[in-house]
Amino acid sequence: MNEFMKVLLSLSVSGTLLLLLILGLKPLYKTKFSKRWQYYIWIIVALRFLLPFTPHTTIVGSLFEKSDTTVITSEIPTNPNISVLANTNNNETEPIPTSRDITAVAMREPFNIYVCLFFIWSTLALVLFVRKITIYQSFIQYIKTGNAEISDIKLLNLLSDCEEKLSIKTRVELSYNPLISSPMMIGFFRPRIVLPVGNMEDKELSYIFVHELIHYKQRDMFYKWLIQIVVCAHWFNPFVYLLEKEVNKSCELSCDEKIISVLDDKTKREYGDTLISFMRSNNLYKSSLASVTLVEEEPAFM
Amino acid sequence: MAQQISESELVLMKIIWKNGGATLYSFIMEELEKDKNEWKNNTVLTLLSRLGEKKFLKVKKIGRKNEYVAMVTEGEYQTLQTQSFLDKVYGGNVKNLVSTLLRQDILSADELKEIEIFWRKENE
Repeated sequence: MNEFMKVLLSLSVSGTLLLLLILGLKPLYKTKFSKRWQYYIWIIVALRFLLPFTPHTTIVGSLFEKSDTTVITSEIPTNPNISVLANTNNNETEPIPTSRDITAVAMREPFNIYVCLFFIWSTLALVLFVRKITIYQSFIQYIKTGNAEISDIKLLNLLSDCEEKLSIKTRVELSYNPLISSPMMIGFFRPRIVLPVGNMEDKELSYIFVHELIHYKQRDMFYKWLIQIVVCAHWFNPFVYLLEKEVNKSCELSCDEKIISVLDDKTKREYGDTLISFMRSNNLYKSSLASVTLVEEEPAFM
Repeated sequence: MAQQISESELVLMKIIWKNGGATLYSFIMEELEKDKNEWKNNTVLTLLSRLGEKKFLKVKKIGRKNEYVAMVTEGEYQTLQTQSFLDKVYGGNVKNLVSTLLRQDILSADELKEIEIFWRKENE
């Protein structure tokens, strides 16, 4: 327990330092590296938060190894003298304390602060994580009840074009849903784009499709869940929420960067026009992954 | 199998039925082109996969190619749709349906006679 909490704390500190370092250097590399790089670089920070430095020792491995040695080394100095004396004085042999006895004594040790901290930490971390999962799952269920498959060939063909532009090989499904107000992409392995009900122009739809498909291609769902794991494990560290915010921001920037590179000049202008018209008409379009919804807003039915 | 399929999915099923209940993907694309349908590859694949989920067809692998085998015959589909239409529009009253057919001359008196003769022969 002691060792585990120490490792956890050191991970939290080193992760935070790395986070602040990369964040601090941002003005320097902002224009030199692509938005994509700036998005994925946070993976290193996330891993720094989760994995202990030497890759071949796992937290669990070091937990057992260290706790055994710390317990035994604290007990041995007193006992050997006694048993040696006992042996020489009597013919009876004083049973030498086995390691099992020693650890039993250690476990009976009352009010070990590390054990308390461990329980507090693990309970909260688990509760947070389980809560996120259940919220996500119920959101998905809620969405599924309202899905209506889109059979309009025009729309399916449009989606097909966008998939080709991005060289996406997996089947991406498409449906309408009266329960949502902005388009979204759901599913880790069987992606589905869900559109709100209402007429949308081809240009608008193209933008939406490409935007969501890029989120799929970038594996944003996985990345965001990785960050959520970091947030749950380091719930006590205020800087992980900063990490979360940074990742979400650079996610969208990286996505837009890719959109621009995929479009040709003519479409770029139209895309620009579309964006402007979005802003003017105060369209409530906000691209979101189910995981973003889970973090930024509670679903209405909860 | 009580699922409804969309018009586009029906087009695909008709192609499969036309070919005796099983076709290769390439044949489907050829047929679509003949009828001037401009359906993209992914579109067709999505529709076929939906039909698979609705248990209207199943996919068999022949070497590297996919063969799509109909699990519902055209006759079965027609029966299902007829029943559903009858229930929905005529409340299950088949006599009303036939009288509409006759009154609107969708079914001519001659055709009705032919059917009667045919039906009598069937039952002998």
